[in-house]
Order: sequence, then structure tokens, then C-alpha cells
Amino acid sequence: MQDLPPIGGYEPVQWKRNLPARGFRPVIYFWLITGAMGFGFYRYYKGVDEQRELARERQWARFYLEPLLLAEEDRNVARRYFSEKKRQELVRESMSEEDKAKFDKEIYHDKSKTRLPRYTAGPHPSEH
Amino acid sequence: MVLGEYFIGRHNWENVDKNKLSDDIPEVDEVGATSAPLLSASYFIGAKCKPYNEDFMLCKDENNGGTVECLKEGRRVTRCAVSVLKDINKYCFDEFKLHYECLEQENHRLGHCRHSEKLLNKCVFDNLKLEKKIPGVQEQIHLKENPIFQGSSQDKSKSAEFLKLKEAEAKN
Repeated sequence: MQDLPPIGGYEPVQWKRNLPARGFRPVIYFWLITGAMGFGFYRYYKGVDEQRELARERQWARFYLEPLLLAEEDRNVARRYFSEKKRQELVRESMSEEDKAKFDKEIYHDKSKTRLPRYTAGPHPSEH
Repeated sequence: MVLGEYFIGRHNWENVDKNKLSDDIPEVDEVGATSAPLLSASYFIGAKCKPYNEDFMLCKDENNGGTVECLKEGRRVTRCAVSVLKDINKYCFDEFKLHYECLEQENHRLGHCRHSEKLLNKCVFDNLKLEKKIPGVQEQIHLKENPIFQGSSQDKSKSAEFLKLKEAEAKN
């Protein structure tokens, strides 16, 4: 005994899925994303350009101020330099002849430039 | 600590020298402005004092630092800068103040204070004929419309308020 198909045959089988197409065509997504990214990159590099120009502006502002700041500092350094020279002269007066000769001996042969003293003598901090 | 005496880092070393410069070196007023006003005025100082500044820097370059040799040029630089600041204070004090106070608030970012800067530049150009110009570029960043980095400062509203007040004063 075998089952037979119903009279009139089976109904046609729905082999194709019946899903509504969701969203746009893929190519539209591609161009949308590419466009958004393109705009982002464009904007980013515009920003890079602008940051560079802002840095340039800041640097030139500093360049214009530099001489004035240096001049002020130089006056202070020169003041201390002359003061140190005067102090050395005072110390020299109370030296023995031997020390004085040693003191007067030139340290450098090259006299083409001013050398600022790197170290200065001062009292021990506990004596302040 | 017993050994503390010998660690010089523990001591507060002072090297103070209060002697004045000798009398044969002329005195000069120091600028005395703080960083924000200086930054605000820097381009005008640069525009007006260019010859003095270059003279001074050249002198320093030629004299191995020139701390002692270039005092004269240095005085000229300082005098010139002081004169520019005096002029700005005389003619454009309100705009100047608006701008440097903005700079002070905005961490010294010039890009965040464009509105008040515009007012200041206009006033300085009208009165002192000094123009802010960044050398070596076609596009001057401070004249750019709709820049990307504007910050979120109150500069715009404050400048608008300033303008309104000024107009009201002009009417009275």
C-alpha cells in the first residue's frame, strides 16, 4: 500500500523566499559611506591646515616679543655682571701681592668676547 | 638629619644681587606688561619696532650673545615697545582690554578671541596705522571666515555687547 498524490496533484512548492527588499540598493550605501568619509577627511585636513597656521601665528607673535624680553633679561644679567666685576675689584684690593698676581693673570687667550661668570661666591646658606 | 647640612639641595640657596646698574648706563623704563597684553600687542610691536628689533638681534648675533655689548640697542627695543603699548593704551584701551582679557580666559589661544581681535585690529589700524600681518603666508589666519577651531568662548557675545555699549555712547 502506497500513498499516492492527492487528486489534481500537489500544490506548487514556494521555493522562492518572499522577503521585501530592505533599504536602498547596495551601491547607494557604498556612495553614502564614501561621501561621508570623504567629507570627514576633507574637513580633517582643513583642520590640520588651520592648526598649522594657528601655530605659525603663535610663533610669529613670540618672535616679535623675543627681542624685548631678551633686552630686559640682558639688562639684568649685565647689571649682575658689572656688580660681580666691582666685587672682584674690592676683593682684589685686600689680596696679598702674590694672590693679586695670580688674580690678574688672564684665564683666556681669546679676548674677542665677553665671558659671563658661571659661578659666583656667596655666603653659606646657614649664614643668611 | 645630621648629614642634611651637607646636601646642598636641601638648602634654599639664594643669589640675590641688588646693586643697580652704574650711572653711565642710561636708565630705561621696563615694559612691565604681563603675558596676555604682550601677546595681544605683539604683532603691533613687531610692526612698529621691526628695525630696532632686527638691529638688536643682529648685534647679539655678531657679539656672541652680546649681553654687555648690546645694551644700547636693547634700550631702544624696550623704549619702542613701551611707546607702542602707550599708544595702544591711549587710543584703544577698551578694545585692548577686551582682547587681552579674552586671551587670559582662553589660555592664550588667539584663535578663540577673533571677535575682540577684529575690534582691536580695526581700532589700532584707524588710530596708529599698524596692521597685523603674519609674514610668509597668503592666507592670514586671523582674517579667515568660519574657522574650524573657534573654541566655545564668550568672546562673541562680549564683543557684541561691547559694540552695543559703544554705539549707545556714541549716540549720547
